[in-house]
Amino acid sequence: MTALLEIAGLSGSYGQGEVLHDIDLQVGAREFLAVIGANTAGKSTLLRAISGLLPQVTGRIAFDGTDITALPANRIPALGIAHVPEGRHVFPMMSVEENLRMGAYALDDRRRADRGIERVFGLFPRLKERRRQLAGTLSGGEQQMVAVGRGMMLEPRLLILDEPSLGLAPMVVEEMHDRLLEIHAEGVAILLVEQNVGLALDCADRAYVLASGRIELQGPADELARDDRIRQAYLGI
Amino acid sequence: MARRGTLAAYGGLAILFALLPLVLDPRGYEMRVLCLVLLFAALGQAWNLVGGLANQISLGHAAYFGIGAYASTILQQVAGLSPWIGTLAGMALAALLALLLSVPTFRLKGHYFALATLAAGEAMRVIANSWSDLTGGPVGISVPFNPGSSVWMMQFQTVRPNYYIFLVTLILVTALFWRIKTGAMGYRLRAIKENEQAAEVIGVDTYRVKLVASLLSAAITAFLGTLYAQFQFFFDPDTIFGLAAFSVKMALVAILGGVGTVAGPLIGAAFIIPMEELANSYFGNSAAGLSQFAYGIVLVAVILVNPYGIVALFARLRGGRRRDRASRGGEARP
Repeated sequence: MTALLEIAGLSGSYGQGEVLHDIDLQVGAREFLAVIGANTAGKSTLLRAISGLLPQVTGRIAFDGTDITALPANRIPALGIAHVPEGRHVFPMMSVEENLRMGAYALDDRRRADRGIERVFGLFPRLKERRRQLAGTLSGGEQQMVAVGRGMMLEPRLLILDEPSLGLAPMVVEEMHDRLLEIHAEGVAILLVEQNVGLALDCADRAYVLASGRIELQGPADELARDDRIRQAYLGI
Repeated sequence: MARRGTLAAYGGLAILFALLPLVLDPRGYEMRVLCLVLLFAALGQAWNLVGGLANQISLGHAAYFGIGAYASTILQQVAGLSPWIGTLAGMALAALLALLLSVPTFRLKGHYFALATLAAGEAMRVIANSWSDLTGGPVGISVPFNPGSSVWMMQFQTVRPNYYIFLVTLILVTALFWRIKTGAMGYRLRAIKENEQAAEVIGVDTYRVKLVASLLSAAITAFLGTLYAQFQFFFDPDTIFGLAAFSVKMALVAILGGVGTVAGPLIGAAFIIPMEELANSYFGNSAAGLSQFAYGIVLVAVILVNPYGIVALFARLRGGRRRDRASRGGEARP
């Protein structure tokens, strides 16, 4: 199987001091991949590197066979990579529907945007009820739905999610992960960064463990979930 | 329906202002004040393109304004060139400066961007003061006098033609602002204003969008600088590149009226310019600086009453209690 996303020998920094060291990582087409690790392990930085938001990278990042290492951030979405950044970056003074439509910006296609809206409303019926409401007035969970929905508007082949459960109530977290599984079942590859290790390993096919900017471990998610090192370090068992 | 009503209101306003000079003394003080109102409304509108729509608060727009004024005036002096032509050079130079400034300033936000642009404006003032061979230095520069009236040389016996030039310019700039705000470009700028990182990840080329808006804003401001020069006939570096006289005032006109709105700069200018004139005539003789002090107090008061500007104040008074109640009953941020 050829990988949809192929990262080889990736190192990166924000200017001074390397944050990522020699990362090798693959996401297969239709795969659900989790990257877990403690705070400051470099998880978000890795996602930023993929999306072209990291100022300095060496190594190679290829998407569907094309080298995207040097591509600026604004050219990435059109390839089919949707990035849902950490911290629910919605447009607060735009309505829910406007936020979603902005997600289809790179498609530049009215009809596909209309279809996307229906698809997102199917995933998150709550958003349909609140389509005219300003995104900034929504609850945290609903804002996260907007952020994920906005990513889905791109009809992505790869959905990158940075801590989608951060700061959400446990019930909302479960609901969000059910939706991610639903999205994955539709054929979208997912790269999920999560601090909630138990939940991440529960959803994912495979996982990588990142520590201090290096890949420490990798393997099938269910195996990692049984691994004593993981259980001690991240699951607290 | 609402849009048609708004359009009719703007049309009515334009007609009112077009007829106003017929009842005023064409050489009178009122005409001059009205000219300044129209000028500053247009300046506020140009500033609004970047400051309002992208929330990049520039405090250095006098740099572009002064470049426009100097370019057309110097070209008139040395080559007898019409200011209509000379201003093109000024607009190009201003756009070039905006392009150069974009490199160091576009990564900056908020106060840092404001301070960087402020420094740029001040730098232009210092350059104009010391480069005497070109600008005439601190003593200032005069537009060469042409007897009689000439549209081509933009010189007239009274300020009435200047008034109409200002009015037409304001209408065009306002229409342009409205067009950009409601179009795709406006959405891109809004996305940047509300969350630049989110704008980036959905594929907006944030640098380019800000640059296009800045170039437009700079070029329009330079054109207005030429109009001002042809209206005043004389200016010096400390005035034309002045922080209080132009940089801050054009930002204030937009902010006080309602930042990022079409009506904001119009209302802001109609409020600030006459008020400043009033303060000057009341307090101007009694004590130095008192008029500025009174003017400052009124500005602070307006901002305290409503930080979103006069436009929002009207909307609140009109939209009234119903919306207030709805928002109170509504959901709070988590």
